[in-house]
Amino acid sequence: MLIPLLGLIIGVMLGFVLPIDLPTSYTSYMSVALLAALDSVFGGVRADLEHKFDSHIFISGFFGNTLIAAFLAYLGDRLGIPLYYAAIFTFGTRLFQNFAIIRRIALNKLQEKYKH
Amino acid sequence: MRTKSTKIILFTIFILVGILLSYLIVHSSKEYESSSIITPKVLNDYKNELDNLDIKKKELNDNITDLENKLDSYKNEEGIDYLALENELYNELIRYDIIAGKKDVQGPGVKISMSDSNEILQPGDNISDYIIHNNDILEIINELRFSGAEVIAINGYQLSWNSNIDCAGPVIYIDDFIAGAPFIIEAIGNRDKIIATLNSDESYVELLKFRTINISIVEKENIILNKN
Repeated sequence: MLIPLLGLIIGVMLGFVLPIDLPTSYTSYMSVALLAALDSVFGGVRADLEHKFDSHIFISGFFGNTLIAAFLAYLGDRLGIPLYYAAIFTFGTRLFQNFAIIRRIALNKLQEKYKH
Repeated sequence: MRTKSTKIILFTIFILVGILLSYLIVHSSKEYESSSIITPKVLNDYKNELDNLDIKKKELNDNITDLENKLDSYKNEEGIDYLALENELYNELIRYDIIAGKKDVQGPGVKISMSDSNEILQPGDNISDYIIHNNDILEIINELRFSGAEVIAINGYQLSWNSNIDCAGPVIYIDDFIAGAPFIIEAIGNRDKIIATLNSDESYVELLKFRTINISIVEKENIILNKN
């Protein structure tokens, strides 16, 4: 768990330091992509706790979800339909679900630890 | 998280997530007051606003160039030519005086005489159709201005740029001047243009003729208008 955390911290620092400047119109796609990425991360954590973690699934899911979410937002903008709501809704719901499962697993582990 | 390559990939992925996260934090707090998602509609609105501002900027720049040219024209080899400046300012003053109706002016123009209809009213007729109203005068004045009249006077009273024409029962008020029928409107300007406009089929004069109001248009070699 230490390596991802370290990566996150370095990434945040890099993001603040690096002068990344994307066109303003891409901000909406970026936010949806971030949501997809966070969803993948929580999914990965959950899978790891359930001992089902597969790096290939995780990596493909991470990039695939991010790209599809950004593409959906873009398509919605072109069509005049706010399709990014679909991405926000799906990923938001899944985020909470994954977190609920992570919580349950963690609590179970704690209980087992203090039983003995 | 079993092998080394997985660790490296996880590491890079989390760096990516961190960059995304901080990018959004930086950009949503700096540039937009709300965290609302920017849609093409919002973007389009801003684009239109920008275009309008660009046009305005261009106009203002043209204005600057004009004024700079004017300023340059006052200069000669030895600094500012005060004589030319004085002449220019004097000419400008005269022009503004003429616009404000503060100068005696003369020139070729058109004289319009109007008086109420002589028709005998039939039952059911509306008397309003047969008399001259303040808005009739106003329409004719607008038509004259539109056709390029430079100075306009009603019953000898010169109109300025902000004159108003009001109804006052049987007479009309022009600013504080009281004018009664018959109305004589004199306009100095391009006679051909004024006559052509007044006699065109869509002109207000034609409508007044239809209402049997007495109206005559005379071209004049020289009209003298005294200042108010």
